[in-house]
This record gives sequence, structure tokens and C-alpha cells, in this order.
Amino acid sequence: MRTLLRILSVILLVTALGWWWKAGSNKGWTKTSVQVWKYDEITEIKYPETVKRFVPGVDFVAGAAAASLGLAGVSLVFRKRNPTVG
Amino acid sequence: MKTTIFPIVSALGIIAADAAPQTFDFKDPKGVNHAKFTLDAPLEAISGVANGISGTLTVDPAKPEATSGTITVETKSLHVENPMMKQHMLGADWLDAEKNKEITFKVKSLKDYKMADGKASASVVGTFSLKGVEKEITVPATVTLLPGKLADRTAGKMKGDLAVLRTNFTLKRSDFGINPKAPEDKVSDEIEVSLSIAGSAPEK
Repeated sequence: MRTLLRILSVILLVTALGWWWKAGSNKGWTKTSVQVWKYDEITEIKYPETVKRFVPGVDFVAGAAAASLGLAGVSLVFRKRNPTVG
Repeated sequence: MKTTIFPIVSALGIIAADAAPQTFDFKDPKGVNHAKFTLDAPLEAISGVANGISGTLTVDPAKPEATSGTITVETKSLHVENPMMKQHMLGADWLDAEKNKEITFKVKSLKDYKMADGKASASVVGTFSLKGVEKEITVPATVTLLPGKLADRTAGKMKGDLAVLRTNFTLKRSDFGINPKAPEDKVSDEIEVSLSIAGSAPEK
């Protein structure tokens, strides 16, 4: 159990970091929508269009790191299996 | 006729001098009209947009300085990309969108209007109303008239003119009681606003 929790802790942290990096390593807060700028040829106005998209930010990474530490901490509750004597 | 006289008439009065007053409606089902806002504090820059824009401006070519009307922005249409920040921004401490449903700019008059590079410019004098606080401000604006372009925008369904209004100005958060306790190193007191809107005046 101890080892399993520690492995899960590492997987969680690596997955979160990988997702954050692949999504563009956003150094701001997590976004649930992004703006795409378009151009209206008649009025010559550049205007934003909001598109729903999840972009993890530093708070997401911090949350994942905290959860990962939590799992690692819980793993300490479980005792190491005693080696068989004799 | 209109086109030939445009350059000699001014500001919002880029309409022919002998033409009747025109009312431009800024309701925009296409979602092009928008206001951008930026608060650039030393520790954090916040920016967003609003697209719930409506209102009308009436321009009398014979008296462009008497241009009047109101531009309204629906408070709930203000959008920032972080959902928690948006919730705070619309909440009671900040904009209190439940109680203050609209942000308005009531145009009273124009001054210093002139033509430059094919665009009319003027200082627009009016009352800005935000979070229940009214303040008289003067903002620089440019207007471009697009005669007959309404047909292009409506796929030929309506005939008429378009007017594109652009303005950039700065407001102070503290002037309008928007969470005055918030530290200015994190949330700037100055709000830079940039408005780009197109209004239509259908032929009658």
C-alpha cells in the first residue's frame, strides 16, 4: 500500500505537469475559456470570440503538487512490512 | 451627394450637411461590438472584454456638436478568462452586477471635432455611469462612416449606412467605488478602456 500510494503520487504530479506543459505552460491562473480574435472585414473591427477551453495554470499545478504531497504523506501512515525472520 | 460632402463635415457629422439627422443603432447580433478593459498593476495584469453592447446615437449633420445618445454595456457581459476572477469581478464587492445591471455612457455633446486621414475625430462629453456612480467625462473618439455598407452586413436584407466608433480612455476604479480596499499593487486603480463598435442606420 505504501509503495502504491507513492507511485500514485508520482504519477499524479508527472501527469499534471505534462498536461500543463502540453497545454502551453500557462503561467497565469487556470482558464476555462480563451479568446480567439477575429476580423470583421466590413467594419474593420478586430473582435474577440470566446471559445470554451480548459487551460491549466499555475494554480492547477500547485493543486496537483499539494495532492501529490498528500498522497505521499498518507503513505507514511502505512507501516513497512517487517522482514521475515528465520 | 452624401459621399462628396463627407470630408467637409465633421466628427460624428461626417454625414452630408443637408442630410436629415441619422440615428445609429449599436445593437449587434453579430457580436463584433466590444469593449476591452485592462488593469495593469505591478503584480498582476487583468484584462477582459465585454460584448453586451447596445444603444443609439443621433447625429444632426447641421449641428454635429449636439450629437446625443447613450451607449450601454450589460454588466454581466464583462468577461475574464479565469472563472473565479470573473465571479469576484461581478460580485458585490466589485461591480455588483446583480444590482447594477448596466454601465452607461450618456453622450451630451461633442467638441474639438475635426477630420484627419479620412476619419472624423472629436472629444465626446458625457456622463459615465458605473456601479451607481455618475461622473462627467470627456473622451477622445474617432468615427468612420461607411455609406451603404449596411447591405453588405445584412446580406442585402437592409439598406443604409454604418458608423464605426472607436475610443480609448482611462477610468479610476476608486472614482466609482469598485472595491476601494483592494491593494493597488495587485489590482490597478486605473482601468484602461478601449471601445470599438459599429452602429447601423437603416434607410427609412
